[in-house]
Amino acid sequence: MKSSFVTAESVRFSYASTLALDGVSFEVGQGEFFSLVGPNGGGKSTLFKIFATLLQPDTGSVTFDGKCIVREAHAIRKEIGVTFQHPSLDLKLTVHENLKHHGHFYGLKGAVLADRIDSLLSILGLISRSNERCESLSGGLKRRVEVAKSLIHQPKILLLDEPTTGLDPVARKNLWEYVRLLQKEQGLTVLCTTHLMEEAEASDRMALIHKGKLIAKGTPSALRSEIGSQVVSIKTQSPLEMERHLQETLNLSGGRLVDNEIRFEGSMTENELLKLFSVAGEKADSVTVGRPTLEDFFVARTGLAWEGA
Amino acid sequence: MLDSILLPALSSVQREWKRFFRQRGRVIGSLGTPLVFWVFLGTGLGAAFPSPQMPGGLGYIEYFFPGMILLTLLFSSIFSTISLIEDRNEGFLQGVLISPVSRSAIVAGKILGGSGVAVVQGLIFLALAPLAGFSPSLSWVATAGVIVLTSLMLSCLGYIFAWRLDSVQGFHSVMNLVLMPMWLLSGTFFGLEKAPIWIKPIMWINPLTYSLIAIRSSLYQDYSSLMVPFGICILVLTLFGVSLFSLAVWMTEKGEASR
Repeated sequence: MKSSFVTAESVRFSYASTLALDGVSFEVGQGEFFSLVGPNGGGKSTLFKIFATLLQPDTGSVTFDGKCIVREAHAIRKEIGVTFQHPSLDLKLTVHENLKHHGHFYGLKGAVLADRIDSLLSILGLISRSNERCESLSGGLKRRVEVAKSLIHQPKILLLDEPTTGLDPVARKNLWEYVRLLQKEQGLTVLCTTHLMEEAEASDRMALIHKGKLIAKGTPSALRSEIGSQVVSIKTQSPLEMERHLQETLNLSGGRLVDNEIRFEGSMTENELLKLFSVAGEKADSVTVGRPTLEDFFVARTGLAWEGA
Repeated sequence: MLDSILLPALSSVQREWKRFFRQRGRVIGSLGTPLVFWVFLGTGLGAAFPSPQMPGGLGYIEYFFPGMILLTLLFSSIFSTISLIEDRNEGFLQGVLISPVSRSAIVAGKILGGSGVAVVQGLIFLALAPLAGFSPSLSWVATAGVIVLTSLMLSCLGYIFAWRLDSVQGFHSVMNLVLMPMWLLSGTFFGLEKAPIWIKPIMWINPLTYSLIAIRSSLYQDYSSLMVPFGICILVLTLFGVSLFSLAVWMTEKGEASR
């Protein structure tokens, strides 16, 4: 197991005049499930395209198992499997034909290819759909075919771009179970982008990307605990008035104002909490106390409301 | 080499064929359009402007026939490579680009697939030649050769346009502004020798001019008395084909950086 199987170092990329990635660096260990999380438009899709060898960074470097993604793109393409957000299937072809055609691109053919297709179809529960044209499949099934397609050449690294977009909860769960299984049994390294915090929660480690910068990285629990053990949130129609009110009556300040919400991160004693409830309770729409989530972490770091979902 | 270039290229060809036959509208459209043009233009013009030199009313039908083969090839090659735009918009293309296939195999697959469909349609049209008054002969083999060469060249041209464009609508304006004029100025309606002086240079640099002369030469079994000898036409078409193919590969390699 290598601790830096995939590395990104000071990656910068801009489209014409907009800077999409502003010096992003991180490492992913072999066999690790790593999530790139951030709001849409934050740069994670650009980073994904660079990893998939579709774009080249302006400056900085990306390596897979020591190979440079720009100079050794051809070698890297053999080792990565890519599941795109918008399935890359030929809708006029059947499930089986899509996989076969894609296998040919990796120099696979004959009995070897047929065996691989069969085993992937059975693991992903697609056997009965094998001869159906992809245009007739539901979104969840298409995504499964897409996953099968990206694994046909037994890659070492699986890149997933928002893999659960448009999937119902059952299909989501199935997909994650299967990816987890591959990660465990075959030591597959998984790199996944998502704008859903609850999905990032399930990964081994994650990085938060916002406005082209990596603003945090670590295990989900480590990131959560960075902002303390507790988050108190007061929702109200007039947050400024509430802030003043709290300041005057409880001498409580330092809350973070996010839209219609005042948030206190850290920890309050039981006594403090009770006082807060009685003072704020009358005017607030809701007062909640909870353990910090990754959304809270994002809010704490950026001062923006999490509009991920 | 075999598995890294030929296998993916042939697999792409197979895919193009499957797609073609699974979209019935394409089959009807690309074969029907030239047929309709031919019958209406041929008979209509024949009735409106009777030509004393061509007895039997066959005149225009026969005269337009080579041009209609060319139009079939144009429609069919171009509509096949237009699918590159669909491939991109449907996401299929990115799945191809992330695979370790050499970029020339990608281009070759698309072009062989597209021109294959065109060649078959061109040959079906050629089989109709007796209806236009041509009697079957061995020199139709040469005509078939021109059909193959022209289809390959036009598919390369289609690929280049399709690579740059992001919508099928955009492709239609290219069709109307570039490809139809190329056909109109190929000699279908008036020969190089009778063209107005300012049109002549355009016709000389138009590859379809050479296709048309070559088709006419072989149909009339007269390989040297037209403006350009048959052999030169073949040479020019080959040069156009090779240059356009190289350009297509170059664009595909370079395009990765920007898409």
